Amino acid sequence: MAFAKEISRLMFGVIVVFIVIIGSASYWAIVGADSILLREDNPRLVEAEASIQRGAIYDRSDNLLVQTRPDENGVLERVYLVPETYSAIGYFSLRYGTSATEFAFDDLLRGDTTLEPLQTVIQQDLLHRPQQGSDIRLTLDLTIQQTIVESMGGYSGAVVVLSVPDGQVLGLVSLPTYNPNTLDADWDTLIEADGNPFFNRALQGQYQPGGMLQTPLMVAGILINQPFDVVTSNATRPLMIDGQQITCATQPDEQDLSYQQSYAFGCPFPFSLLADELSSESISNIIQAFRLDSPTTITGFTFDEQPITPEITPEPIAEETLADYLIGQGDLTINPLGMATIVSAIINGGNAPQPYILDASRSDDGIWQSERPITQQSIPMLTTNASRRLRELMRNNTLIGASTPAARDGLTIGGHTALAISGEGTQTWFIGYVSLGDQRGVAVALVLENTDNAFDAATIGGNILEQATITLQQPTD
Amino acid sequence: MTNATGMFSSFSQTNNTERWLLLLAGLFVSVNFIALEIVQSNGFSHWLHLAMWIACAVGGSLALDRLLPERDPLLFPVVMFLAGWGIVLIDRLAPNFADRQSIWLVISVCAMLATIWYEPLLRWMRAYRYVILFGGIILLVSTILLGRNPSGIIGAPELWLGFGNVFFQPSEALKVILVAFLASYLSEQYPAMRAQSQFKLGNDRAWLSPRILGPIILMWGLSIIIVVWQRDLGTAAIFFAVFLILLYVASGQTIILIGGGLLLTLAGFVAYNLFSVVELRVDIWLNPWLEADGRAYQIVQSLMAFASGGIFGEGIGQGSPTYIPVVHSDFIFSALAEEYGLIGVLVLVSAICIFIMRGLRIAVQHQDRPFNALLALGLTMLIAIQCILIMGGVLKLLPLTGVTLPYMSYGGSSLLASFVIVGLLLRLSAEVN
Repeated sequence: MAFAKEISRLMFGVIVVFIVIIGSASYWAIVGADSILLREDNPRLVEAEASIQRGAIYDRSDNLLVQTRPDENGVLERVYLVPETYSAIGYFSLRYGTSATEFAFDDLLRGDTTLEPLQTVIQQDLLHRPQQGSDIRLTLDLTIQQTIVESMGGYSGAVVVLSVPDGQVLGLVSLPTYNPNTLDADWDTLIEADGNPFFNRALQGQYQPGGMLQTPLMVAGILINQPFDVVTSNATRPLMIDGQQITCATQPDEQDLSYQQSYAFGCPFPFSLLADELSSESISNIIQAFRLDSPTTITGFTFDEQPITPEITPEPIAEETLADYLIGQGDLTINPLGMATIVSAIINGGNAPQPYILDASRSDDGIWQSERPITQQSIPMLTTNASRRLRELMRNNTLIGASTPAARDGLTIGGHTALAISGEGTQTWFIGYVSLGDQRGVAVALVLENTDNAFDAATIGGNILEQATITLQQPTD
Repeated sequence: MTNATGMFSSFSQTNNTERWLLLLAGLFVSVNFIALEIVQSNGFSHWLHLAMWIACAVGGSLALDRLLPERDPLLFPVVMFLAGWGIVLIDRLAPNFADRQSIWLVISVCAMLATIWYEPLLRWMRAYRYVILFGGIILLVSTILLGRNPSGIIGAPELWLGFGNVFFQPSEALKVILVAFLASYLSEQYPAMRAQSQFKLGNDRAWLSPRILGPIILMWGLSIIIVVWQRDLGTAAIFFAVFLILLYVASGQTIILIGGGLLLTLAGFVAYNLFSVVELRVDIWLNPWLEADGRAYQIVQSLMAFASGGIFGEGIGQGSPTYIPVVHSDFIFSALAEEYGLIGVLVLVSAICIFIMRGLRIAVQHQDRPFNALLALGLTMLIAIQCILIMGGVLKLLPLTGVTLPYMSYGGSSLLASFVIVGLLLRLSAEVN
C-alpha cells in the first residue's frame, strides 16, 4: 500500500478545506449578511426598492392621484396624475428618497407593515413575491385643491384648509412646486430654482405674522375686557420696520378707528399701543395658548422640533421688543397650518382639532380600513365665549373690512386679512372660516408672498371656502 | 460462468446507479430550465441547450456502456450534473455565451469518449513522458509568444491561442500534460525517494536531496515564469500546488508540503512587490471595503451575492448576480450562491467532494500500479485545487486567482480539459478490475 497513508491525509485535508469554504459561505449568507447588504453601495438595495409595487394614493372621493405602473420596458414607475396635488403628495424617487405625504406614510405605501413576520418570510424570502404596498386614501379633496391652485394664479405661498370639528385636511398647497414625474431629470435645476420649490411652505414654512397676530391680541383683549370701541386717532398711520412701511391691509375711508375697525382693516398702529395695556407675560401666555411658538403638525408628519408642553413656563418677552411683537414683527414666526388650526378652534368653541390627512388604507384584500385617529385629540386654545366673540369680529371683517372680497352670498363667512413685512418684501395673510352649523365648518389659512394685495388674498380665501362648502354639503356614499 | 455472471452483475449495477443519477441530474437541469423560461422567456434557445445536454448525457452514458462497462458509476453523472447546472446559470447570466458553452459541452463529451476509446493512451502517456513534456513546453512558449486575449482589451492577460474566432487556452491542456509527466516521472522515482528517506532517517538534510529538491525548484521556476510572462496567477498556483501534492505522496515527506508552502509564500511576497496585478489582488483580498466601488468592486459584489442569497437563495433568474463583472466565468459560484442560497452551495460542494473522493478512491485502488495511482491523484487534485482556489477566492478566503470553476464556468478550454480528465479517471476506474 504505497500511497494509502498520504492519500488518506489528502482526503482529510480536502474535506477540511471544503468545510472551511462552507463555513465561510454560511458566514456571509447568514451572520455577516446584514452588515454588507445594508451598505449604501449595494446596488441590490436600489433594485429591491424599485421592485416594490408602491401603493396608490386617492383623494377623499376615491379620485386616483398617484399610482405605480410598469413603463414600456416593464420597469415600475411612480406616476403623479394631478398637478394640483403635487405639493401635498411630495415625491418618491429611488435616487432622492421621499417627501411630504410620500414620506409620512412611506411604511404603508411600501407595504412594510402589511404582512405578519411569518408571511414576510413565506411571501418574500421563500416565494420571492414582490413587495406590495397598501393604497391610501387621503382626506384631501381634489376639487378644493384645484380651486386653490386656480385661484392662486401666479402667486407664491401656501394654503391649508381644515374641516371642523374632525380636523381633516381638505386642502394643502405650497407654491411654487415641481413636477414629481420628472424629478430625477429636473433635480439639479430645481435645487437652484428661484422660490425654492422643494420647500413645503404649507407644512414647514415659518412666516413673519405681521397683522395676523391681531387675532390672538383680540383674544387677549377679550380676556381683560378691553373695550373694542375705543377710537384711536390716526389709526391708519404706517409703522416703520427696518426702513419699510407696514400699514393697513386695505385703507379705510376714516383715519380714526376703533380696535374692531382696525382689526377689520388689518391696521397695525392701534395694536402697537396695546403694550401699555398688556403685560409681556400675558402676551406670552396667549402665544403659547395658540401654539404659535411651536410648529403644528399633521398626524403622521414628523419633524425634528419638539412641541412645547403645558408644563413649560413661557419665557417672558423682553419689554424693548414688546411693541414689535404686538405688530407681529418680532422674533416670532408662524406657519399656515398653525393659523388654520387657530381658526378651527375659533369655529369649534375654542378647541382646535388635531389635523390629520390619512383617511384609510387598503391592502391586498381590497377593503378600505380606517386610519383616522381613534380618539380625536383637541387642543384647547381659547374660551367658548372668546371664540364666539372672535367669530363675530371676523364675520364683521367680511362685511366692512379688508376681508369683504371673501364674502359669498348665502354663506356665513368670517375672515381676517393682514400684511407682514418679511425681509425686503411684504406678504399678505388671510385666515377665514365658513360656518356650517353645530360647530361644523371649514377653516382656511393662506399666505401670499411678495405682495400686499389684500383683495386677492381675501378673494382666494372666499373661493376656497365656497368650494369647501359645496364639497362638504355633497351627500357622501 | 461465475465470472461472466459477476461481470454482468457489476455491469448492470453500474448502469443502474449511473442512469438513476443521470435521471436525477436531468430532472434538476430540466426543472431549472423550465423555471428560467418562466422567469425570462428566451424563445427556443433554452430548450435547445437542454436538448443538447440531454443528448450528451444519454449519448455519453450509452457510449460508456459500450466502451467501459465496469467504470465508476458516479463520476459521469456528477460532472454532467455540474455541466448542466453550469449551462443553466450561463443561460441565465449571459445568454449570448450559452450557445457556445453547449457546443463546447458536446465537443468535450466527445473528447472524453475519445480519451476512453483510445485504449493505449495511458500506456503512451507513461512511455513518452518527455515527448509530452516537450509538447507542453512548446505550448507554453507559443502562448508567451503568440498569446492573445479574446476580449481584445489592451493590457489584459494574453493566455489564449486563436484560430480565427476559436480560442483555446493552452494552460488547460498544460495542466493535464504536467500531471501525466509527473505521474510518469514520479512513478519511477518514488522507490528511490522513499528509500533515500528511510536510509537517511534522522538526517535533517535528507529532504535537500537533488531527487526531491531539484524538481521542486524546477516547478517553482516554471510557475514563476507563468506568473511573470503571462500574469496567470491561478494557473501558476495550480501547477505548483498539484506538483507539491504529487511529490509529497510519492516521497511520503511532509516536509515537502511545508517547504513548498514557504516557497509559495516567498514567491507571493516577491510577486506582490514586483507585479501590479499580484499587488492589486492581495490588496483587495486583505481589505476590499476601502475600494468597494473601485478596484474591489468584483469581490465586494461577490460577497453581497452570498449575503443576498441567504439560506434559500433568490431563485433562478430572480437575484442580481449580474452586478458582478464576468460573473458567468470566474464568479459563477457567487451567482449560484445568490440564486440557490446556502442550500445550493452545499449541494455543489457535496457534488465536487463526491467527485474528488471518487477520484482519490481510484488512486487508492491503483496502488499496485504507481503511474495509474499518481495520475488519478494528480488529475483529481487538479480539479480539487482549482475548485478551492476559485471558491476560496470569491469568498475572500484567498486572493482572487482568476481560474474557472471546473465543469460549471463558461470557458470551452476549461470544459474540454475537465472532460478529458474525467475520461482518464473513468478509464482508470475501469482498469481497477
